[in-house]
Amino acid sequence: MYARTDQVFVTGCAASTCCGVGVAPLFARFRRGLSSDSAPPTNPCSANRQGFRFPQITVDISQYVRITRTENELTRQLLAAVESDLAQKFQGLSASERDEMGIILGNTSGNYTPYCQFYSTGLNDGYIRVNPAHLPATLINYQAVQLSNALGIMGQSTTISSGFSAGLDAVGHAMMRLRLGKDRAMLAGGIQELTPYDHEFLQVKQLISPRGVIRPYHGTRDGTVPAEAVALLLLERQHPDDGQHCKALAEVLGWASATGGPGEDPVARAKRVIDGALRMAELEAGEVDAVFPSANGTCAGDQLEIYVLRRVFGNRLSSVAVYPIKSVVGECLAASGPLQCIAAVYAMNHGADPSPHRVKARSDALQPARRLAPCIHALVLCVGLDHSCSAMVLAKA
Amino acid sequence: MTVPDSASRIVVTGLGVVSPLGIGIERYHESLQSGQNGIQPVDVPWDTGYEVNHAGIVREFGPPCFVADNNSATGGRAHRFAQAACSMAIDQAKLTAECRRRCAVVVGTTWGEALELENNAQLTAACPDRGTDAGDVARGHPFARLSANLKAELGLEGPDFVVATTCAAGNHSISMAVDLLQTGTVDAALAVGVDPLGYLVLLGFSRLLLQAPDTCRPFDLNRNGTILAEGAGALVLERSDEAKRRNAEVLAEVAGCGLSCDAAGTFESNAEDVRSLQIAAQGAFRQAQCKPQDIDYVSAHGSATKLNDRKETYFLKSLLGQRAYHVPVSAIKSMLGHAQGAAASLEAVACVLSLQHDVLYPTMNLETPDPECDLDYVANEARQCRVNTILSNAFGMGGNNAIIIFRRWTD
Repeated sequence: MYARTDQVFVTGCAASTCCGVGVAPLFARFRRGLSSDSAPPTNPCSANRQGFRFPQITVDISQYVRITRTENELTRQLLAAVESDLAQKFQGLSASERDEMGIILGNTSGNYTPYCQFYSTGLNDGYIRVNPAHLPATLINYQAVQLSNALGIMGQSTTISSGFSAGLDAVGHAMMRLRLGKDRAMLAGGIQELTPYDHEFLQVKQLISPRGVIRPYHGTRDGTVPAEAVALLLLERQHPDDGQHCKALAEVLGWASATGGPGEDPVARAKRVIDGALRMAELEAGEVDAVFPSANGTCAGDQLEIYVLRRVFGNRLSSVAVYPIKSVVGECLAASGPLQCIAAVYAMNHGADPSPHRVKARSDALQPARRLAPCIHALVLCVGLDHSCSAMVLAKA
Repeated sequence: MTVPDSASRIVVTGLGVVSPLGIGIERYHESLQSGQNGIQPVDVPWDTGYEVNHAGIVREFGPPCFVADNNSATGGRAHRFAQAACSMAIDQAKLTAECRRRCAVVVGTTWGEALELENNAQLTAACPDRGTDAGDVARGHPFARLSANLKAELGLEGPDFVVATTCAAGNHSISMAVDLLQTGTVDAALAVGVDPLGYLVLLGFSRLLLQAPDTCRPFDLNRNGTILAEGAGALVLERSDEAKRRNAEVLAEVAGCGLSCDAAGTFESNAEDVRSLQIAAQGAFRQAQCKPQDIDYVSAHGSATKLNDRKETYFLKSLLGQRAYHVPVSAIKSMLGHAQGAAASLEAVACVLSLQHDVLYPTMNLETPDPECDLDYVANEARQCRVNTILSNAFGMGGNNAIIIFRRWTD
């Protein structure tokens, strides 16, 4: 195998969610406690975008240096998150350090809105009415490149998709490159604009809660609440011989991923993915003390996840802390996995916050838990509604 | 020159091509070698600024269907290209059932199923309440589903991803596949680049004055842009010890991959600012454990725009020094056109074929030398020549750069 295997640490987080721009409002919401029965906060969905309602993120661009009026919504959310949470990290970086940094983002749907606008202008108004300067904003990789431009990062700038678990897979890819010593640091995560494809996928499959409430694992759960978000982790590598030089919030130990078709046994696939992540982390399931699951409140999705967790943890499941964060942030598709990682990092560094739950032994419902083991090893699990599946293992640094 | 230990060397064991110059490796090689022209007039139902539009079309799959039709088979042109290319590559590599269980798929593209996106936009504009029908939902998102559907159809069971870095996507897919192999996540990987031709890209390139009227002339004084195209290229990659264990025929080595981003505004490039290209090249050389003086052939990005060709020439001179004047450079977009996300994969396949057949493919339509592009571009005629180490450049819109070093395999 490739000779060099470095350790990979999380040294920063950035997010824009329906709780607000930055991790601060998200962490404030965590401190108020997670619930197994709540509606994600909404700047009330009075403004319909693309014909459907969802919890929106408001960015006041006058507060940010790097955002111009011409930027689209998703780019504003991304740049605002990074400027809010990571500005200090980047201020002191030298040119050579920026050369060795890369960006990798996960995104399910690309830049659907600018794409359709550009195309429709050409079709309806004629060739000469099309503004050529708008072509780059139609590209799926546009946000990653804009982030590179804003921060002066000259390593790779990439966008991937593997479906709804794309964000966690982006973090996994970043981890691989750092372990191989190919980059010094990576900004990795997920960005999600709700497009007609995403929303109608959820609607056609009857996965949206009519009541607008997420009740993970609850017997009366009736669906999820789709939302937009941006979530990034700053990962840095460190070789064991080099001595610790970065303030670490958590260590990324393992990752695995798979997608599959409707014919394949999804429980077996998810188990295989979790086993793969644990194997890379060189851990047994018995050493995991916290799970940050998808737990999105859909009937089939939660049922599948509970089956998988029971197969992985067996009778031990009721003593493992479970953190259902989508009751706070909504179902953010590609951004969900990295948001769950951010919650794991928060739990590792803030004791019992954000209020763990545990799975009841006889039913599968969640109940608030007290006196659980501190979060040392966390399993982040994305069981996507589109048959994608990704798992990551984090450890307290 | 030293090479990494055998366990971490990545090799190519299978190739597949769907291109405007034909389908299949043999036909592709013969067409490139004889300097054939894959560019032809194409019917586009709306204005692009040209009376007659030209593009590199895959004729065997029929013309692209730009006009929406509820019953059309437009959904899936990218998938059909990729599926055909991957099947060829898997057949050549003779992947066993055991290999397929631990085989990844990485697909590089610009927009995925662009024609389907466009057709949906047309149908929605005609009927705003239409929404997305159950059929569309069942097929999955036109971008995200490319790799998952390929994997299902080819019976592969490893991870799969789509990577969207425009014209550099093919090389990015190779780089990601290499990462998966080197970490031991998988034992084999399909690195694919694919894009169909859509109206939006024709419109955009024409409005940006990047599209030439009828001929792609890389490095020629009178070059005036690229000619867009479509297609797919696929490579099966494995670790060398795995390939040896299977007695697979090794076609070439992927010695190094380097990635970078210009980190400048999309329209702020200048020909002399090649620092980001040097960063990508340094990354590739570091992995390959070799130096610029080991390079004896270059597969250029060669998109035939005024700026890009000057910039690439400047970059090669900065990298190779005086040797640049003696290292041959080929730009096969002169024959294929610019196949967007598939371009780098098609060029990667050509690099491997060059090593196999000891041939340097020509840069066609190079009639009037440009004093600012004064290297040896293998003008207009293929050349028999044995080379060992090839630098393959891919530079994407937005500033994504991906450089791969291919090396003749020696055990």
